[in-house]
Amino acid sequence: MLKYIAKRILYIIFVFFIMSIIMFGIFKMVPGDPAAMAIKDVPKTDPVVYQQKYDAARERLGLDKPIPVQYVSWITKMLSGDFGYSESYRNDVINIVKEPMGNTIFINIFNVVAALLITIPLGIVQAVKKHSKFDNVVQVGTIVGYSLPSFIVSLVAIYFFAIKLQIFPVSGMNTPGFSGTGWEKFLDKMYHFALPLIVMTVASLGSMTRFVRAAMIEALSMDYIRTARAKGLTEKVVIYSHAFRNALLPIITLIIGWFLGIFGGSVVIEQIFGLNGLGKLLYTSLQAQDYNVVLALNMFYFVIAIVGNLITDLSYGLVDPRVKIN
Amino acid sequence: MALLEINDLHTFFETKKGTVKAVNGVSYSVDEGKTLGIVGESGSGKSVSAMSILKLLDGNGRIDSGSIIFNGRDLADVKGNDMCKIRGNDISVIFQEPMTSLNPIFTIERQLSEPFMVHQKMSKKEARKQAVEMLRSVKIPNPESVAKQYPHQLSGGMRQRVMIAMALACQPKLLIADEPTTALDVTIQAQILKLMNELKKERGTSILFITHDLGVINEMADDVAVMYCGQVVEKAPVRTIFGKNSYSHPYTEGLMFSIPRLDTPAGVRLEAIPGAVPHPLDLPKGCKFAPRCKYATDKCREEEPELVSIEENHVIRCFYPEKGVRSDGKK
Repeated sequence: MLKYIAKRILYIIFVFFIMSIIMFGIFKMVPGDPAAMAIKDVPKTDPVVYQQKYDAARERLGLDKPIPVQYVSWITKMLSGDFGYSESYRNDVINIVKEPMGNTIFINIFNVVAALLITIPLGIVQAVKKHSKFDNVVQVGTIVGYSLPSFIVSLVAIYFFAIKLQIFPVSGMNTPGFSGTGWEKFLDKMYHFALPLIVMTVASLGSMTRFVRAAMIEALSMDYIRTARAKGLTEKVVIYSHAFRNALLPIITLIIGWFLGIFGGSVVIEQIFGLNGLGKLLYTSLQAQDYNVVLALNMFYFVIAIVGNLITDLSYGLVDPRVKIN
Repeated sequence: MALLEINDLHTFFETKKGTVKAVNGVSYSVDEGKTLGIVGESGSGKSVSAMSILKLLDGNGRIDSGSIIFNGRDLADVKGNDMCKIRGNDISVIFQEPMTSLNPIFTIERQLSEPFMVHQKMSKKEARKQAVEMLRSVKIPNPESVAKQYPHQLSGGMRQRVMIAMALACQPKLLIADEPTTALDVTIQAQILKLMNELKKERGTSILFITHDLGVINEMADDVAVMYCGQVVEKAPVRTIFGKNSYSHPYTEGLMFSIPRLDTPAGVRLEAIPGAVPHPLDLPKGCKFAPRCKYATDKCREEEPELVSIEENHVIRCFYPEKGVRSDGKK
């Protein structure tokens, strides 16, 4: 087991370097001139001064050196925790990523927990009452929820809840000029996050509910469920202990995937609701050709994905005794 | 004194194409400390009749009418949680498929201790100790280490021993064995049957033994009920069925003929019952066995015979129960 993990980590390090080279290479190939973007405020009226500033910017950004040298200096800085300087935000990347990441994680954790709390019981009840009226209605509902793009759900929700009923604000992160602190500030934040949260949760219900239902129906049809009933266990124990533990096996990857996904911001939702999250940051940085931010975010997502893979594989061994990890 | 008495049981399954009468007026009884063997082809309703006792039917199945008197109580009326108190406690089951009948993600110990905790309110620790004892009593070597293992680490025979241990945990009065040896190879089969017979003698448990293997019935049963198309067609003590006697149902006779014997000369064809079990939604008029019966007459195809008592403890559902006087059909 430990040997296996050590092997996987070595492999992760190897893949990390390969990926970092590829990503760095891609960003070097993207058309556009970061040096020009960095000095876009400088007037071009005097070509000599502009050229001087431009060369200075190139030197400051290290763009005058050969690409392999640029890569080495970039990766060394990355590994030491220095993610570079954002030209469009005029701040270190680490500083500008902090707040959006906090917001994204905050909203995603709520979303994942709420969605799991709804989908798992819903899927179980559906499976137990398979083909009942309740099951059929929910099946139709999940298909609809599954097929609707989240921007449509967002717009409909904004129209009803923010414009017609005026329960929630249309967009934004907090009430302008709001000066409360602590609990009050949290409540104000939640008030603004409520609508996007509802939309995200609704949008993520469909697929998971259907997966849980299918996995539970499969588990409930197994011979060992009949054995459990024959032992005299109550239906509750049969369903929640014997069947659900088995139903968990096929959906555990999805659940872990969701939890890893909490770091990924949704470009669409954050854009529509005007939330300062990672998705929006990635989008605006790309527009501004602020490659230090984009590269840092991409490497971050990459590490999450590859470490997540390892966690998923290890979790199989934890939940299913038939899977031997080595 | 009968421990279990099933009277005129009807168990139906609702399907999209109609009502399948899987068990259609079955009566049999199991005496205390005795084994009743139920024989029949697939689809004869033998398992369904037994699963009706504990209401372990699939979702669309239901007991339509009839009574299941166990220890003076009608189980057909028992509902929900009361049934849970009987299952695994007074009556328990061993299933056909040991490979899939144990939960793959729990240890043997955990699964085996459940009946003790549910029915005898033991603590987890006590129950686990009892579980190891049960493993020992079904002659599993190294019970302490096997208890910590998962089902996939055991062989088929071992798993069936675990199933037996689980079924016998709370000293049930009745054990339903639903083809317990069908999925096992012959040597393991013999070991399991021997074990069941020993445990039966030790504990005085009555057994309802379901199988399609007449050889196994001969070894295990005191009485035999032969089922065909959801009905009992013959019921007799095992000696009457297997011994030389002048009465039998043509179906039983056919089953007997279709057992391969060591003393049959090489080259002689094994006699089989022609045709297949009719579809449950398209049962023949008259005697259900008539289309496959070589003795069938027009009367058989028109009218349905009743169960007739031929001699003491011997009933047959046939118009011509006496072997010698049966015509060779085509009448």
